[in-house]
Amino acid sequence: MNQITKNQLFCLILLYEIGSTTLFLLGDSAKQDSWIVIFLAMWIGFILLWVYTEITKHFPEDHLAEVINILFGKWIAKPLIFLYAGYLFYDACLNFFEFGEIMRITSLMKTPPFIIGGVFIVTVIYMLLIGQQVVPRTAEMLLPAFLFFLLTSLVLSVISQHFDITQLQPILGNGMAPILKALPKVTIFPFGEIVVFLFLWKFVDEKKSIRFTSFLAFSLAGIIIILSQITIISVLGTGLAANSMVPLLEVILSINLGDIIMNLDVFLIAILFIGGLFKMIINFYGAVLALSYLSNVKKQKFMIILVGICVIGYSFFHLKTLPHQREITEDATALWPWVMGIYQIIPIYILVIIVLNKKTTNT
Amino acid sequence: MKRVGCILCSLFLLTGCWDKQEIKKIGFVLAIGIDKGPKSGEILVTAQVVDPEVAQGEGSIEKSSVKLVRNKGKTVFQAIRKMLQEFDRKNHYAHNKVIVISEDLAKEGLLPILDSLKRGGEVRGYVWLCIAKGAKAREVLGVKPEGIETVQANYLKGIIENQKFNHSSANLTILDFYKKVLGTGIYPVASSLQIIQKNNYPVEENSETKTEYIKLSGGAAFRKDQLVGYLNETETHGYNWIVGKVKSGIIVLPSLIEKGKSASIEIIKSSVKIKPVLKENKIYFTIDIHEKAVIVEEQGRGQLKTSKERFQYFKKMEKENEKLVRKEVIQAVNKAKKLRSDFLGFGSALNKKYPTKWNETKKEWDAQLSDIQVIVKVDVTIRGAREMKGSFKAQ
Amino acid sequence: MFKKFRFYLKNEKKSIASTQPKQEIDCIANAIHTNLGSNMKIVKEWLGANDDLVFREFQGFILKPIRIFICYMSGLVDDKHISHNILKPLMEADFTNEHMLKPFENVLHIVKNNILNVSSLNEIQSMQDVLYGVLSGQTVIFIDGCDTALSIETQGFEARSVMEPDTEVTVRGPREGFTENIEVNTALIRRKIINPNLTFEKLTLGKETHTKIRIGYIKGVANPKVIQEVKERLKRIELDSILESGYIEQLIEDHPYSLFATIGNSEKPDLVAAKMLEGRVAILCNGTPFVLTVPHLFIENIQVSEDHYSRPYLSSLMRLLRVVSLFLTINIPAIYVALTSYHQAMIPSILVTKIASAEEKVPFPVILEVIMIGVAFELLREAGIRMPRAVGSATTIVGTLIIGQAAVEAGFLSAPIVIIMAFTGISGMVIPPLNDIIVFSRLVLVLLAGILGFYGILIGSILFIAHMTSLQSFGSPYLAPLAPTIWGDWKDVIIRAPLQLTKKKP
Repeated sequence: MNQITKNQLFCLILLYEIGSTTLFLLGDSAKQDSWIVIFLAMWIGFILLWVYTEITKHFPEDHLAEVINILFGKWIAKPLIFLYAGYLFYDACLNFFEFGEIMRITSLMKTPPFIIGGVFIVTVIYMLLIGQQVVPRTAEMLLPAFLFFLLTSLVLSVISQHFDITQLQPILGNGMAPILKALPKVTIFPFGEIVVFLFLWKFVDEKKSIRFTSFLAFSLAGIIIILSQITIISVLGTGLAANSMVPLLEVILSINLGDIIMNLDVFLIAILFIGGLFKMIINFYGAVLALSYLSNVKKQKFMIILVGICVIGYSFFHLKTLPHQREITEDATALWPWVMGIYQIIPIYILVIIVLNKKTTNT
Repeated sequence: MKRVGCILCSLFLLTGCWDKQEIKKIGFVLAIGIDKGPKSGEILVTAQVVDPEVAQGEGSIEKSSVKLVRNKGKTVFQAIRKMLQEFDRKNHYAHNKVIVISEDLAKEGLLPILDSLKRGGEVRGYVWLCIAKGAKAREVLGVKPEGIETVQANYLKGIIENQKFNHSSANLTILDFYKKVLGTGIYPVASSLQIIQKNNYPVEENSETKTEYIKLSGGAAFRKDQLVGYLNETETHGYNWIVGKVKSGIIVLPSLIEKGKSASIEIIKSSVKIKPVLKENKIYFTIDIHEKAVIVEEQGRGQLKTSKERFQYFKKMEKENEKLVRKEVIQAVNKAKKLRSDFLGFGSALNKKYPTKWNETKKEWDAQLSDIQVIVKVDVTIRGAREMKGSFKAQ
Repeated sequence: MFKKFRFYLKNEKKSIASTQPKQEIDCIANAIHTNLGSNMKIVKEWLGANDDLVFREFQGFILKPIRIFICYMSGLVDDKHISHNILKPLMEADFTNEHMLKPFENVLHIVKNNILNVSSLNEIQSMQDVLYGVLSGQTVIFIDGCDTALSIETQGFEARSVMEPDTEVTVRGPREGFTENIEVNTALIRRKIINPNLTFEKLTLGKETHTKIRIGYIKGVANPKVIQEVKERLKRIELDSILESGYIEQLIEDHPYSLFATIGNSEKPDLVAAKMLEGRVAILCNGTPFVLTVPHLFIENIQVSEDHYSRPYLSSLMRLLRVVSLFLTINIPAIYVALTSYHQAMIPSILVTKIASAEEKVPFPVILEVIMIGVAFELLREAGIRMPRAVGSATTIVGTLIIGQAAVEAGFLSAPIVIIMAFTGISGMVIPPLNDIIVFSRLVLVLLAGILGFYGILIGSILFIAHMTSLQSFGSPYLAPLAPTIWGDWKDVIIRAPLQLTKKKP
């Protein structure tokens, strides 16, 4: 993936951040105020993004694993990098698994998950294997299609009869408490996940444009997510939205314009597929980078195939079903409430250490 | 490319086609009727399956273009599957247009009934939900359509969608139903279908043969997901005014020109605002209705000579119109109080304006409903009288 | 990929060397004898079996009576030219006055400088040159006592005149097309670009055929790296016969196994000239009107030279239409299969009963129907091309009438399928250069749609796009202005901006 252009970086970040998040209702505990949660989370995301790009400024030619190695030395670095590799791997598995399950729920009921997932992972591996440039270029090709499907379905649901913006009222009806409660979760997913780009920024050819491009793509992604959340709530109401597995599917299915533009399930499949693919592929590649750095494997191809097999194995033997996966996540957050946030916070420490190092060397 | 080839080959070797279902092996269900079964706790599901060849006018003319398939079961899904033991096509519900539910079942609550249909994702949000008033759902689906459409479900859909020309009936989609039942402070009103007997055309008073028609009139009001009562046409007018669903309709007023005659006014546009007002911890609501209309009929014979006279006449008509609308709205509010069902959405209006007050009162809201004060303001503008300046008078 | 390609070349070389024993050209590589008789014997030995070889021996009077013979292949040469400019002067020459001829050393010089009134004349020393010269239409003159022969360019065979090509028909724009003659083709390009920088480098390829190849480019415009690369790859070709530029195309491609052609071809001089002006390198091959251009990008397939000649609005619209038709022709059958056998819910309700009632009468599954009619369609098209022209149109009529109507009436195919396939076929005709890709990818997507529905179509499309992004054509990414996006070039990609805005060529 070396030599990512400015434009490609924009597409990758946009696709990664939107990914499959528009399908779900984020911060559902805040009910109709969930879009405020997302808005606030986006600002926290901006701070995180600033920190991450600052690290990249100090180490433009290294990815996170290399930075950690340089700063902390071998003994602390290894477990830390392993932690990150695990995080990215788990994230990739989650994307992969969710994708397969939603695909099954929405259209391919009887097809064995192994086939749906297998075809998907083969696509991912194929794209990573056939060339360094394939993923960013494909992102460039598919972003317009992705935005077309997403925005068209949003616009169509706005002009169809069910859209009722008053569903968003009362704003802040229950005060700030539910918002603050939902905030950490939304900050981590999807905005905090931008941390994976610490592995990819080193491949960008124009280092100066990293921060600007990232912020641009990040804020655009945030706006699109907010718009989709508003649409979901306005069309479905909070009750149904919180109860649906895939609220966006409900929204798309309720579109009916003149008995001709109706039943646009294919839009959902396309959004799900393109978004899920890029989210997965970037997490996957991050994990591959971290693992191959950790194990000193020079041949990335080998690592890609290995991780791919592990993803399938983990998803089918550990996550099993969607409710089971949800339960695992909930248990984990109950046990260690901050464990999910640690990956976002570690880079802040790194930046602090970098700055302190600079100061000591200067004086 | 070789790799792609390998992938494809292995795919073909490894796989069959699991979810494949040929279109010709499918029976498209266009309407579902749900009744109480003969034994308690049983549900009788009736599906109206279209026969594509007959519907396309290719089969024999005597054949009906729809087939009614019914079976019973403890759950809706069981009944649906049991149908296949007696029917040769796999039923497909995604093209469903109308769900008709019998009133005795609706009185027990709809959420358990609709659950399987909603969960499957097969019944889309825009499907119309109707209550069979004084009849069984299966009877409603069995009435031969007396319209242009040969498929009865499309005929039902047509008359339900005609609500936009006619404010004396309510309509409700599945999505709206869920939105209102799961939301706060508002309950749904579904359309109610009746079976009526009418003489054949040409109308002969003493004709023996009568034809069954389906009539859409009034609405079926719910409390939570349970049917609690029906609205008559006047109350439905009021309901439609308050929820802002009046898109068009005819208002008949006594003629001001000649006694005993009437005039018709067509509504062009209407808008409504419900404002909760909190005064010294007491809540009252103001309902602000704006209506724009034209006079489309004046039976009274007479002449309006000057422009001033004409203008005065319009003003008076506006006043009459306002009076009538106010009466209708008050009737609807009274019905809501009587049924103790907030289908007019006062609660949700309160929630949007004063969420804290709503949170305090929402538990006893249905009980408190009869105490609330409602102030109705109606503002009617009559735009004109179509092509003619005034009324006619024989010389 | 590149390594593989090299490997492929080596293999090719070996296999050819082993299957066809090399002719002993070496034994005739020896010099020309001074003895006229032995020369004649050698030539006769090699070419004597051919009755189109002409020997003409006569007596000349140059310094002294001397025996001369000329030989040529009848049919390859211009007879009039030979009798007027070679035979006549040689026979009528009377250079016996020694005094007059003092400055000249030998007979050969006199013949060369004073007698023969032809413009192109070479001295050749080896017997090999003689043979190849004769075979390519030269006339060779042997003079008794000289160990050097003279070869004269006398080619003059019947050739097709410059005509409008059948493959790339335009409404507006030049009508001329390349011919089979490389000299004419070079001239056609030179006539368009009058510029000293326009260069054609000569090359001969094919061990048996000795086909003339020219690499054309404009110095200063074309990337020197690309030129170098082209030359290197051409030199690596070790093939016995090259009859058409397609041979070269397949041997110097970056991705020989890929579905997508990374080398373009054209029959129109104006198009090739335009491409050369954009910095591309043209490869001309003798014996074919198809000229290759590299690097070739995907986007060139949907561009037509006419786009630049007509006004921008319509041509932009037409380009969009071509993109849409590309999408449609590949996807429509697959979408139909996915809709009717997986996602019946997605068909608008108004259509669903229509389609169902049409499919009701057909005994086959939809996917089989689509494949059947697809095969029938390709058959008809192939028949239409191969048949003599007069019969060709009859086949299409028979095909459409019989197969279309009768099959529907008999209940073998449903009417929607016929409509779908006809539409697909028509859309496919819009972009002729992509025909092989379209047919193949259509089939792949139909099969995938038959297995996984829309998910299959998406997977297939993404694999195709990913594959296309991984392709290179002589150093340029195959999907170049699209991915990686080069915004400056977008003026001439999907839309065509007015010429004022596109002064700078990509």
